[in-house]
Amino acid sequence: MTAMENFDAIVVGAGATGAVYAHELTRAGLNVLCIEKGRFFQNHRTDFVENELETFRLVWDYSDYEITGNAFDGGPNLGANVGGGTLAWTATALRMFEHDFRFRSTFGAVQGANLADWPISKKMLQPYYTLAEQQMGVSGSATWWDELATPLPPNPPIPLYPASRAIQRGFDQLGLRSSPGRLATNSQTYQGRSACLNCGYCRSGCRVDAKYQADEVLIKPALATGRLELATRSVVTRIDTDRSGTEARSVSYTNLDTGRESSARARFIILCNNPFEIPRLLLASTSRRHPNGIGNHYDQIGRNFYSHATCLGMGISNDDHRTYVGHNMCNVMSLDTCVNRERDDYVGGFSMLSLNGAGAGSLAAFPLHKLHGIDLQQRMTQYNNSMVLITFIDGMPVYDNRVGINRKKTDALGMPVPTIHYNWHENDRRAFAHAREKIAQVFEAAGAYESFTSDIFESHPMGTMRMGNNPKTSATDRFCRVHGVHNLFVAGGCLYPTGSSVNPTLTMHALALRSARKIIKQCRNPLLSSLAEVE
Amino acid sequence: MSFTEQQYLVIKTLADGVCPGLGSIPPSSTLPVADMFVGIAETWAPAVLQATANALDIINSIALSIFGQPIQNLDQSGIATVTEIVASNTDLKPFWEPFRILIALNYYALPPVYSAIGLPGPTIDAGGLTAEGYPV
Repeated sequence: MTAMENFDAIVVGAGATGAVYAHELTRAGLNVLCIEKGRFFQNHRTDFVENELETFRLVWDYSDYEITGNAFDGGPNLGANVGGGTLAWTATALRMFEHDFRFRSTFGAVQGANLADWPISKKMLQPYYTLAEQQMGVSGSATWWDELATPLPPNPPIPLYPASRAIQRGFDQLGLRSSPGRLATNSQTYQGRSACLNCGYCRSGCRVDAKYQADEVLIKPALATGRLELATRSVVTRIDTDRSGTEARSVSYTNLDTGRESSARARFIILCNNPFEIPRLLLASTSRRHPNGIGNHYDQIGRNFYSHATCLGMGISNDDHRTYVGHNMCNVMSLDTCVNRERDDYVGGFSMLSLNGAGAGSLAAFPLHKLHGIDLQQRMTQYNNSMVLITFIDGMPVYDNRVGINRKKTDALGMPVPTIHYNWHENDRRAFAHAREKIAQVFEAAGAYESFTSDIFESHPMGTMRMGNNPKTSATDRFCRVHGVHNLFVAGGCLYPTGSSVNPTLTMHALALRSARKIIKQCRNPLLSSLAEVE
Repeated sequence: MSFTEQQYLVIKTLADGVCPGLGSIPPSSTLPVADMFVGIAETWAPAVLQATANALDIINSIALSIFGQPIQNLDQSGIATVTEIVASNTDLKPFWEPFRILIALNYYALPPVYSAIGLPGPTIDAGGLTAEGYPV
């Protein structure tokens, strides 16, 4: 163990949100230690390979997790290196709807689900959405679903690909409005980064940084300030608080390559290490003041886990769509189905987003899951005659769906192994059934003679560190701080009380910007004793 | 633990049942798909790996009971029959679903396969593609 170093802030995880904090805080003059389990790919052109399998090199490994329930299958959603999920993401960058922040008020209670309104409104987040879009270089045009006065993203839309035009015809036939998607992928050179070259391999890491990747856009500039210390291949194993338990003081971490154990102290500690590892770390950090884990006085840490129930569909036509071309998701979209107006058996809704590019293995694995042998190969030879759609469904947070730890079993670093318990809610299944039917209808209207859909699967894990005003029913406050520990912040989709039917990353980025700027204001004006005073 | 030679042959043959050759598309068995599966499976928890090995033994016993031969000796029709039985057997579902996914993901990521179904493969170093899908 070496002497304890002091920083203004410690950021745990250098992913989609950790990079935002590191960038904001160092630019404001704070000295920051960022601790990241994975590697730092410093040359994307040579580090990344255009191959569908490469995604799996960039995503989180659940092999040590204990998993129960029927819903969690370890989908490749979370990142595992500097830049986190933004290395493997599809760069879909949509603002959530106003009703998403008031889901409980809008749709009422749902039996078996633990719905809640967010403790903040969309209006409070709008300026941070705009800033996030500028940082990311979002491309897109005005859409049918924008609220009045929503500014346009900084880049024009990416042209529609042949398969997307076919899907758009299907939307039109069904009376569903559509528009080019909002993408954190450059349609033109932006801030020195290339325009998209349509290669089709977004999920393998973008070799030309046309796609927003947080390590390139935020971590490298943060390092250039000289105020960021980046500890890679290192895992935080414990957080300690002061005697009162109300202030996080330090973290202990271990380098995976050398085994060296270190500790560091900071005024602010910010946990950005995904919806599973954040509760794991808090639950493992027990003390006299926090016998059940930090912030867990009311047994809220890790609860209300959910995801986007997802359906992936493939429609085959006789037309040459050159499906291999293009960025991977949301070249064209319809969000008309994000509020269910057709059925009375579920609440919420689902987005409908096109998929393009190199996804042969995914199509064979999921929409074509019932086929094998010659039947499978015959469909796969029609890859370029295919249209592909994905739907993300409002997942229901359920109190007993949760992330926990097994205190009787530890990993090589001595940390209790994480547990995930996740069952689908009936609302998830009913919405999925509708989404599956709607996909088939769009394909048929677009000229497909045959269509296939996946079974239900999970995307975008959320919940586990719910934001709220009441510590008895939530884990974090409206500034994303762990209840009762004034300088311990949390970031990511784990904060969301409910999850919308659009992709979560832009909102994660916006929330992180908001909290980072509050921290900076507090640092600059020490007389402000609480963040509430600077809202 | 690691797989026995016979279990490896079941993996390789069953992968052909999922992804046989068709026209210019090569069969799985001519590519390193089984090795890719083994490489991944050997990172699994011991209990999962043991269950996988057991399932492979059961599948070979199905081939033996129907055809009197180990699965690797069957012709394409025989392999298709065994594959169909495995795919529709509820007890083998915990094996079959991840097996099929891993075989499919690995197989279609190989250049001889994705090229045969019309994907161009890497294009960045040549300048990428136009939005219509043609070389720049």
